[in-house]
Amino acid sequence: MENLLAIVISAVLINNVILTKFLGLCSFFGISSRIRNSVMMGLAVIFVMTCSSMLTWVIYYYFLAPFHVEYIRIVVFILVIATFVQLVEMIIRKFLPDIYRAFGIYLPLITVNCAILGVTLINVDVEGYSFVASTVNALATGVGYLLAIILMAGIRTRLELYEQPKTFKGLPLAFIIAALLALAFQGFSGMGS
Amino acid sequence: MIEEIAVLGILGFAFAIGLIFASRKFAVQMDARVEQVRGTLPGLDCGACGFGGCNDYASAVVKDPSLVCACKQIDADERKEIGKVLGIDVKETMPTFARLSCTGGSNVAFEYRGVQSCAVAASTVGGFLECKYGCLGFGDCVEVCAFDAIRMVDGLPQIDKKKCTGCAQCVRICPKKVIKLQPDDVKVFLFCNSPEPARVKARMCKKGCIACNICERVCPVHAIKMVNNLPEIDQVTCTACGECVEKCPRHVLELAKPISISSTKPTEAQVTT
Repeated sequence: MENLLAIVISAVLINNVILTKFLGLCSFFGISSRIRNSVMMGLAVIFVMTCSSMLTWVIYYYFLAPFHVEYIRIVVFILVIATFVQLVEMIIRKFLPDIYRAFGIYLPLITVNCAILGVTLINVDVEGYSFVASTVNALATGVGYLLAIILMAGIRTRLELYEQPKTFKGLPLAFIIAALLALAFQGFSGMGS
Repeated sequence: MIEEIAVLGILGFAFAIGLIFASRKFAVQMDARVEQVRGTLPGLDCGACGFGGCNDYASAVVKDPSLVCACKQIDADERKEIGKVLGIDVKETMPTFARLSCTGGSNVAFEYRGVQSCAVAASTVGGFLECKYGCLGFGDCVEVCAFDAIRMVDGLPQIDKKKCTGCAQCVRICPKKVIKLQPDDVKVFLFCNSPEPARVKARMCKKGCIACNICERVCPVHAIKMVNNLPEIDQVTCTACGECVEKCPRHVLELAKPISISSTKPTEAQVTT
């Protein structure tokens, strides 16, 4: 139990997927101009991340490991994530059309979000988590993504009201903000020990 | 080598079969007419119809054909085409245009140095003008106009009637509500917005209506009535004689020359099924 709590704190704050590991940056910059959109994206990421990490864990240990072909895991994981997102998209489109419209482009975008692949690889490769631990890790990483993107969207919506230097307008300023946010998150780095 | 091919092959095959079944099972029936209507729309996603974009609007029109007049970007022929798809008749009426109803003559109450935006200025104790109904002149409307129809001239927005499509985006964004949507057949147009009493208006504004009632008195057909300290012009009775325009001491009334009601301009439409 304590171990799981440590995983959660580590994934949300200390090793935040965006601000410390720098994974999944394209959607972080693309969809952080409005808070509503960023919340939708964050929720979609949490959902897909958790489900696909459960799926890939099972496939890794019960399919790849017995045949000793662990080294093709990246190809297999991408295949699994893409298939899974497709499937989820179909189901949501059929049964929850309103949510489907709200997710819009974000759901297919997640397919190519490297944060998802990164988490699944970290689960089996770097950390070697058990099934429960890797699920919790994926969930917490998603929450960390949500936290970072909401922070970013909040700052960017506020910034829009102020006069910005012409050269920094838009993406350049977003990168500077992201750097400052990442710097702030480095403050958590001592928490584990 | 064999194992890798086998594992990837089996996985790929299994997923493919799964997706095929899923796509059969979860197939969504789309109304073919939505696509047809969508094809007629310009695809600008301007949002003037009140829907999220052209796709949303198309599906709404198919459900409720009376919404066919909500889109301001399509012309009469395109509307007829949509009518054909939906099996209804579309009858055309007057087009509308945005017009500024302020002369910008108000005295300045205090110096404003905040964010250069009408919305922000209006939320700071109602703006920096003495007249609380006057145009603030930062041009929020210029920015929102998707058709480049508005320019700022001497601190007031000037609306290019040839480019204006009557989408009402500027009407919605103006915090002071000084831009009004007017049908093309309006004969006399009023350039003041303030319902304040005559004395107050005369003190704070150099150019606005002072509710002197002259227009009401000179009108030969009694088409003008003072309502809320502003002349209200009955556009049906009005004969566009120009008497009130001539006699108005503040020149806040203007004879509106109708812009050509050609088929290239978007027009309002009524639906008869």
